Amino acid sequence: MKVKLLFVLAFFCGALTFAQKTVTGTVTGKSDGEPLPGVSVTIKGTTTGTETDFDGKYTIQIEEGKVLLFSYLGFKSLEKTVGSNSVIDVVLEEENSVLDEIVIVGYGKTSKVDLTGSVVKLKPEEINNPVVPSIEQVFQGNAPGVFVESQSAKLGGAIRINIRGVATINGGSAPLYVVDGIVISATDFGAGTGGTSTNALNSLNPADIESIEILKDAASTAIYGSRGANGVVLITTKKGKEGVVKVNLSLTSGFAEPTRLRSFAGAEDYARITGPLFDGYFGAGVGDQVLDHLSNGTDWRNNEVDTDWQSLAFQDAFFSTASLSLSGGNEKTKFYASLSRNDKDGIYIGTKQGRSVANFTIDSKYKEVANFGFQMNYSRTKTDQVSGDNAFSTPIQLVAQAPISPVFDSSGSAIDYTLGFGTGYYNTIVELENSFYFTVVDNLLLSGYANFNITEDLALNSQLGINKINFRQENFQNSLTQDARADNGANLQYLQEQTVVTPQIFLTFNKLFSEVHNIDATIGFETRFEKNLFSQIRGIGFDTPGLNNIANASAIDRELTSSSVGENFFSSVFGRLNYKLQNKYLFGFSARWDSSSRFGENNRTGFFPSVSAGWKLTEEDFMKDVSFIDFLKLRTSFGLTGNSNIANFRDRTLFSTGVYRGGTTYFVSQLGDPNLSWETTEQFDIGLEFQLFDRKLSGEISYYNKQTDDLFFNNPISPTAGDNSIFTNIGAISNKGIEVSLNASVVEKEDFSWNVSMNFARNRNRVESLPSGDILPAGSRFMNSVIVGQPLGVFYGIEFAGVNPDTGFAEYFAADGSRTDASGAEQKVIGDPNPDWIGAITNTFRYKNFDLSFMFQTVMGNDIHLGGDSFMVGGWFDNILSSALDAWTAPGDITNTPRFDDAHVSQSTRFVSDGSYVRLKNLTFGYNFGDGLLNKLKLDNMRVFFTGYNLLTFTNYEGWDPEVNADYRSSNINIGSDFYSGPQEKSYSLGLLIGL
Amino acid sequence: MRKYILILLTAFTIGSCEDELSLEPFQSIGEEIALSTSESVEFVLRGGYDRLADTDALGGDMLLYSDLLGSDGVLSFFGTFDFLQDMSRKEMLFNNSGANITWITAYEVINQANIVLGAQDILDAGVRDRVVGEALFLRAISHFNLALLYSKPYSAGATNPGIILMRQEGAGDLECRPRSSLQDTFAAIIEDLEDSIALLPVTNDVFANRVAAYGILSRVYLQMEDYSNALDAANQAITLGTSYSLNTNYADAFGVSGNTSEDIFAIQVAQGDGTNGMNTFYAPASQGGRGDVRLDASFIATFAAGDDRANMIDSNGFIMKWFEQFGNVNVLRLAELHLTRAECNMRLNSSTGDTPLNDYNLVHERAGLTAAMSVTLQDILDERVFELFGEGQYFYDQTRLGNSIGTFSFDADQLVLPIPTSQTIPCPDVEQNPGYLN
Repeated sequence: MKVKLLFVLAFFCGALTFAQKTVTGTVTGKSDGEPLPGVSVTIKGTTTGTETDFDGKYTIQIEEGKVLLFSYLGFKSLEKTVGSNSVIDVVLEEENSVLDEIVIVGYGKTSKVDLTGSVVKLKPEEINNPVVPSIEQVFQGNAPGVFVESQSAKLGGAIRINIRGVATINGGSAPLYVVDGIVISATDFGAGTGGTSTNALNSLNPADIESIEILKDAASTAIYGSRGANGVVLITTKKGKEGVVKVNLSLTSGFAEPTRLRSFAGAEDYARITGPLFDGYFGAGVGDQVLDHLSNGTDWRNNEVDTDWQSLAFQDAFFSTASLSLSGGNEKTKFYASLSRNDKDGIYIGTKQGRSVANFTIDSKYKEVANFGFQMNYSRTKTDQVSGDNAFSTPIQLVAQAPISPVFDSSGSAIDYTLGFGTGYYNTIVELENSFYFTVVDNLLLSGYANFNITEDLALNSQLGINKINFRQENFQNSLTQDARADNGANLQYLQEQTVVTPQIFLTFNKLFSEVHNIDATIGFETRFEKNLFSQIRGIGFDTPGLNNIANASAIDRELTSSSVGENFFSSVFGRLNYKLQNKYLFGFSARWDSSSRFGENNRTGFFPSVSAGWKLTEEDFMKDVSFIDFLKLRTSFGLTGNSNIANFRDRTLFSTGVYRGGTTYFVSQLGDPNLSWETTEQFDIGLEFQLFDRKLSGEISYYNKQTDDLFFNNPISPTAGDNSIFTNIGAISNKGIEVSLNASVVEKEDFSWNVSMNFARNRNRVESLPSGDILPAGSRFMNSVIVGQPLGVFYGIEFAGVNPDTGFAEYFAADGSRTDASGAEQKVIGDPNPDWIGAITNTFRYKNFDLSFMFQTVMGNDIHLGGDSFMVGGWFDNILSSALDAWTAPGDITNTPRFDDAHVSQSTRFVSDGSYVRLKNLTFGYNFGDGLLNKLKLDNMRVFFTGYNLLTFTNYEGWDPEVNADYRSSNINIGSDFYSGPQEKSYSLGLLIGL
Repeated sequence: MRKYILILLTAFTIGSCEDELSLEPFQSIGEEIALSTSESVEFVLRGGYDRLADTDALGGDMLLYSDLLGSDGVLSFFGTFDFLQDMSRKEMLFNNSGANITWITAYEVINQANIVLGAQDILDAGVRDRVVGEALFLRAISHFNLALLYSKPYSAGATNPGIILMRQEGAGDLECRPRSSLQDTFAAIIEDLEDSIALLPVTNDVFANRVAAYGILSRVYLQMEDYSNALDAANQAITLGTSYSLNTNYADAFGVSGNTSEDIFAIQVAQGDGTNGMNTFYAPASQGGRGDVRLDASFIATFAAGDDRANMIDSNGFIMKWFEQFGNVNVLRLAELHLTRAECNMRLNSSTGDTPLNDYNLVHERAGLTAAMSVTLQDILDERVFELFGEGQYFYDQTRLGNSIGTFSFDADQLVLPIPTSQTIPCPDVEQNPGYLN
């Protein structure tokens, strides 16, 4: 110890004896040449430093040979080595160019100017509002070619994110999510439970996100091989920075309401229509029986009760978020830590969600030799709901209840109209009073890394990631609920546990040879092991009120009790070589070899290469004179990626076990294809990136063509084989499109600025081939089909011709153009749920300390199937849409609504509506407090703001909300399908940000 | 530097893991295990019953579809499933989803049976006859139920298309096969049943036995209007089945877990073991169902005063036979065999086994009614309606007799389910039933 102390003392003494000199100078900005006050001037490698004064001048004591580091917010940092000169004037360059950005790519990073692939970089803090409720909202409207649809406002409902179209039919189409280099689990644990979906991105606190890079083309994604075909989303979280400890606090709270409501018949119309209908169906008197039952003894003849059931589906929905972060560090060790809490009511009754996230990151440096760090992100999300998406008791299905029905009986209990005479639907209010249903997801992401600088140019990087997720869902229903009445109460629980371990190790090499040849190379290995445990158990027979645990059940329901274990393994080798010649010509090569247990023995390893090239035209001499062009780059790429997003063991013919008459049974559960392999996507991409007029206008135009072969496909086979499909690789699909993004700095003055950014994208999806037959139609209630030569999911059905004025029955067009009933009508493509184009325009204004930003987002040219509307147009005891009240009643009536007793309410163009919309997706108005108050309060910054989501919607859609898809049947094919999916939410919130 | 080499080596090791790449599933098994022992082959056989008991097959839908097709004047469908509404209105489209799933499930049963028949060598000699007999029975009853729903009645012509016969030893292949004629279909069913009769024991817990095989055979011949063979089969079943007897009370025959004394073949449902698909559609919400099917008042009015069987109808017209969520689905009851024997003896003017009047009165008196002094063919046919209502038999009895269903002739196109899209898409050459788009 003494020796060490002596050594340290000696070191300090020694340091003091070096020759110190006084250096002075002025720091100015490059664009306007004005002096910059407050620039940090430090001696590199120490904390010693000063700041420039109001005239941009500084003075510092430093020894010769040391390096001065100049840094200033919004400008590029600059280093100057101190020589014999004692005056060092410095010009700092503004950092306002998007092209100067560093872009994170798979297993590395590069500068945007040198990128040969297509990558969108998003920085949440630069987008409108730093306090977004969920990360998907950062994508929506801000990334060209990325389609985001929150399919309904149901809390925890599935969110569809597709990058450059859907390139698979029966495989997963979600992108690969990578957080700080670790591929996170994106399993939807809620799928198949009938309950809430889980969303991998929900485990992160949006305030912790530094940047999001969306990799779209093959040059960027091929390094992710068999998992890259759906695009890759790289999420980089915030890290600690050198300096004093910074504290950031953000608080928001607000409320939400439905975007749109529909209009339904009242008691008088309902009773007038429904009574005669049932008399007609089942004989005189039955109508009165039905109405007597549905009015629960109230006087329906005089409209004693007129319940607005739709309004009962919604609740006052408040939400609040709080997020606190601490960060700081010194030259060697830096940390970032944050805690956040979100509480949110859904707009639908009985729904709410609470989420807590804790995040901690530490990065450390050992001399110049090694960097290492550790990160932990833990989140816990609890979601309450009433019942599954496709249940009579899902809140929005309350609209089916009769307006003549009172909600509660005289004792205040909700009335169950399925009982007694039985013509009625079970409802949410009864379920809510007699059940609880919640889902808890714990998500732990641990990662550690160690990077070694072997030489100046060569580094070895290693990282280990562990993602562990626990999912628990519990649904207790007492004996008054429909599901558990016969069981005398039931408690159904799902428990799932997933562990994903991902070790990776790779070498990086970066060197400039002879000033003209720059080589940037990466080679590495990665493995991924995933293990899943699943169990479900249903206890039945609950006799003691309040004791609702499985332990209190009198029996176990064997039919709904089961468990499973699953595993899969990936082993990969990957590499990349980027070569830059004279800083003008860029070439890239990348490849990955993936082996996976998911595939058949005969096809276990795949190879995914890519090549790319870029040309920085502005570096050419002939462009030097074109003064209005600041930067111009042409880039192109071609490569292969794969999709391996399928269940385990799909290559095998398997028998499952069951039970019959108390004994074990074996039955064929799937037929297997031993040649099963990945889907392969060939993608060509070409793009132009530009920056013009002194960086006032910048943008990017891209074209792509993706051809996907060997589709995962539940290939229909003759059922006589013992099953009706076999999962195999067959068929092809293509996606072609263009993406344009523009960013214009219209006004840039000291007190006022106006920035406009816009993007739009068009994707054409086309099924190129199917194995057998050209048409794979939907089941009878829906119309989403797969048809060769058409986009995925087109509506295949019949065309409504109108109502026969003489008979009142619906008519449809036959193939020869004549009018016929449904059975004789021609089946054809009658709608396309895929949009023609999507886009957004964002305006951002800044006046002194005020700022205003708003984004209009649009989806154009898509059709939506109102799949539930055939139940809302009369004919049964469901309540009736006001728009259907003009139904035919007597010969000669000219109307488009058939008579209510038209027995066959066929799905047809009658229930297809244009889903195009323009919506004010986001509006934020904020105020940043000035230095005066900040200095008094000793704060770095303080901001108050108002944010509104979905404030305005312009659409001709006939249903609730055009941003819609029924959760419970959502798939790559089943899109644009509204089945009691309900409106989205519109929200208003106020927020406060404080930094100190 | 040595440290780095070590890390690199570790990485290489991670990169090549053949064992991890050939993982095995944890809760499913391959054919090599499923067909490894005599016991495991019996599990596959029981898997055949399990599929047959599926709600898409005899566990519910096959009986439900039949009742909906024959609904006119008997019962009404109050539910919201459009494919069932279409059946009850006789307005089915080619893509009727019920027709689809039931077709698939029936062939799954047949495939299970064929797998067992292909593994006969693995079976112990002591169980081989019984197991093979049961497999043949499962194959026959599935082919038969398919023929009843997806073909015109035999009475409309034996040369009409039947169904696709899938009779081979071992698992099915992907080949597209044509439909056989009804004649060939029925001949194959009879052959399988006769083969099973030769192999099955007389008693076999609740599983297929010789009595059940004779019983189903009597149904097959009845459909063919081959009354003499139907009589023989029904009589054989009754004579062999000395351990069977009618329950004292009609109500006791229903909603029971495990067979009652009159159940010759039934789908087994117990709490936590199987699902009663009839309960789902026929029982009201208070009994765990959807309350979709209820008898018409006009039909209820046809029961004689004092007929116990009318007590199985509640005040809202729901059929109480299916009120027990955890009770069996009856497939073949002894009462039906007595009525079949009575009908055939009556038609053939014979008294094989017993007189038509005695067989008739056995069923009639059990219902709490006074014994008849004499009986006509029409009395026997009517008795079948009262005895078997809501059990999926009415429709087949009407069409075999050439009776109209409401306004639909017994051989109307609208009374036959479509060959479903699951068959026509992979095998577009298969013959579709008349009246449906292909």
